[in-house]
Amino acid sequence: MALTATLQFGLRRDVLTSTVLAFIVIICVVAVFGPFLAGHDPLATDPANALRPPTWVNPCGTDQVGRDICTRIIFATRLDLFISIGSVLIALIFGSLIGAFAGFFGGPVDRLAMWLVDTIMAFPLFLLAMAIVAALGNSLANIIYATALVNIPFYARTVRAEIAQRREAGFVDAARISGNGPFRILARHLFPTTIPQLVVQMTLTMGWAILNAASLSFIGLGIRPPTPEWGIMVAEGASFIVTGEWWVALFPGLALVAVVLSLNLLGDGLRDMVDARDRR
Amino acid sequence: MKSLAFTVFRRLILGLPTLAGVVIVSFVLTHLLPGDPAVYFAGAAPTPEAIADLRKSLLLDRPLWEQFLAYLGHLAHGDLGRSLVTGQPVLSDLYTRLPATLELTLTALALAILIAVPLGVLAALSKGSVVDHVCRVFSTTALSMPSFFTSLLLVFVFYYALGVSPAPLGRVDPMAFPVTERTGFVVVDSVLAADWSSLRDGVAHILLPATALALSGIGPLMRITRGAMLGILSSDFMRAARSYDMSRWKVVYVYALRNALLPVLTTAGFVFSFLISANVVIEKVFSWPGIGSYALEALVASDYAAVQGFVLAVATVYVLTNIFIDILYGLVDVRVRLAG
Repeated sequence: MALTATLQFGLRRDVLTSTVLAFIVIICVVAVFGPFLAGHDPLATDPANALRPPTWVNPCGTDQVGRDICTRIIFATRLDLFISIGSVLIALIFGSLIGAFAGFFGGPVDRLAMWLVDTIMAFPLFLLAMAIVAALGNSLANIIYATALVNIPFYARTVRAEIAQRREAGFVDAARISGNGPFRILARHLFPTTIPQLVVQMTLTMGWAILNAASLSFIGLGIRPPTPEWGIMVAEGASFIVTGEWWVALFPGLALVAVVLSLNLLGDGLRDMVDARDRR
Repeated sequence: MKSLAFTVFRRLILGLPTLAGVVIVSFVLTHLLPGDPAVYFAGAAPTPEAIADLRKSLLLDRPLWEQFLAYLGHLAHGDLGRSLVTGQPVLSDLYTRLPATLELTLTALALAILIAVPLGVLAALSKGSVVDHVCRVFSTTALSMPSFFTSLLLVFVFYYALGVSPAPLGRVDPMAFPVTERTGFVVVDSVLAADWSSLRDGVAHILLPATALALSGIGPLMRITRGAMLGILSSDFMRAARSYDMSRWKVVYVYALRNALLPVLTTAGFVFSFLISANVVIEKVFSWPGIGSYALEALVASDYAAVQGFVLAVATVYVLTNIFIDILYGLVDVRVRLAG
């Protein structure tokens, strides 16, 4: 497949992007298998060992009730990636459906879809996510829905632009003449051409989804303690920053930044490859 | 060429459907908030009668559409309702707290532009070099740092470790004599009152939150500047300017940058509205007495009127910013002005 070839060619030349991709694969392995390998129980408290700075036993130190921060970071990886992948998939499905119909059929369908998208975009997105979680309640599902909803416009716009641009192309006419109905043309011939741009968009919004979920948790509108989640862990460490116990907030924050940064760098690298391919 | 007044008027009209949508959505969303404001309002040991009375006076016993009509009626009179938490009219609460938020956001936006635009120009001038890559990694890193984490890092380094910043507890030193309020912007008021110790205090308090906020806006601004500069530098009129043997400085900073600033302006408007919502998080970390921390308290207490007022205020600022940017665009770009 052409996309795979582009990626192989691009990744071999772009050291930064391939390094970042390798790092993300490791993070995914940690998310899946990490909880079996972690040395401690993420919820086990040990008041005698509270707020200990990093040691060999507790590489990231312990928090205010003596839980091992390193173990909690590993357990949180699974939850944060789950939120991000879940919300991105929902946004992808609804966003590309809206965008595909708007771009393909045009006219009133297009106007309705774009009005919907513009209405969502009229809100500051983080506030909208905040209000949704506050209204529907602090649950994992609601955080995923809220994050998905604010991401839908980006997918709808990407897919709409890509499809509207190729609607009149020769291969679409050819498919139509061979007796394919409009839905079949859309699904089998047009939609696959948007996949490269969608992959770029997914990589970039995954990072943003993690930031969004962590920020929600940080202000108390997301995952609740004692569940290990990066945003919550930074929030719990926030009060110790002013008294000098820096490790409580620093390590979960660094984990968060490392993952989001690699997703963003990967997205940028992929975008360069896809754009270069489109120009050829 | 149409008059400026007409342009402003047309843009205001075009902003109305968005505002109407915002009013409806914020009303519906806030009425989904869990908890019963009547119970919250009735105090510690309420009698069922007291709660019923309160429900009646808050119109909570009426159908939702009647509540909405009543809300619209109040809104038309500039009445945003009364906050359950503070007991004050929401409008006056927002009015007293908005300057703190605006001062923080505008300072952050100015900082972000001052850092991002020169770096973007630098990256464009040295495209593909090490400098370009360093700028790219810096802007991506800034984009990937959650603002609450950046804030905490700054507090740790500058307050705890170095001791050069005041404690992250608000806009001014609570022990200091407050400066006379004119604009509500501490920094501006201190300058107007020629009160230099207040000025130093105000600047010291705003520096860390504004930096943390600015970092989240640098990424998009820098990218747009770089892209716009690259586009302009390879255009025909730039080739012409260079062939006339003008100085490189003049070509780049006067002719190219001036044209590249238009997309930067649009992005600045987008970044401004993004920063206003990022404010909620920053205000929590720094106990900043703005509308973000107000909204957060209101959300926790299911304070309908306060949350609606906040969403409405932010959306209004957002719509007005877009209109302002459009008008500015017309003033800066002769082509847009002539096209009317």
